[in-house]
Amino acid sequence: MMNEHSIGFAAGFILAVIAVIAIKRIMYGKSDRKPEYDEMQRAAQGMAYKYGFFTAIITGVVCAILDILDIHLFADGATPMFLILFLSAGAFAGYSIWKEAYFGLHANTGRYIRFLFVVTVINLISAVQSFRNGTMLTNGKLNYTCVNLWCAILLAVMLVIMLIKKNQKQEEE
Amino acid sequence: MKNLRMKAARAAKDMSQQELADAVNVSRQTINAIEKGDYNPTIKLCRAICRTLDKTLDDLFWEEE
Repeated sequence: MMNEHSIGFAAGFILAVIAVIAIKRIMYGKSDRKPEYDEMQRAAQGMAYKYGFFTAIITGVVCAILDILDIHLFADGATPMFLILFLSAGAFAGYSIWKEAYFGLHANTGRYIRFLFVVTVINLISAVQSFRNGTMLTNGKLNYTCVNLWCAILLAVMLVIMLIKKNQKQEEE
Repeated sequence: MKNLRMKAARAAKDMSQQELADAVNVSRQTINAIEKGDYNPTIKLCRAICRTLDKTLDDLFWEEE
């Protein structure tokens, strides 16, 4: 039988999926038009996937060894798994953005920057609330509710990279 | 190595990097990277650039020993 906590978690997950679909509709319209990339961008994306893959492998091995040795430095349960996801996604997205391969050829990067800023702020507010309510820590260790904090940090780093590249582009032009 | 011949051919046609990029359907950053010598384009892109700038592959991409 599912308890209230499980139902709440499942409902939250479903809501997140619906939100992602809605945002995709808003960003790309109703058509299934996919972003177009040129050959240099595709080559850079290949490298980005490689860095993301090796980041996932290395952090996964470290987390597995720590778990086997029963060493829980700062987080418990599934929390380190989220960390692996965020670090590998960060490696992929960070490298792609730096190499100007993350956005398609005719993408409106200003719109993405504004959107990411809003999502970062929402996650940050949620993280601050969790911290103030004391729900982010269980027995002094981070639990899965710290995902908002990691998400905010990841998106903030991506935003900084985007702004640096935007600034570089303007200087070049 | 910088591709100054491509830059000169583009300037002779009075085209900006963005205009050349749009003509060959790549990003301006890709054209910039080719001119700076940071990226080696595929033969397909080399041909598209040559056609747009009315030059041959030898004119723009052949490096003399």
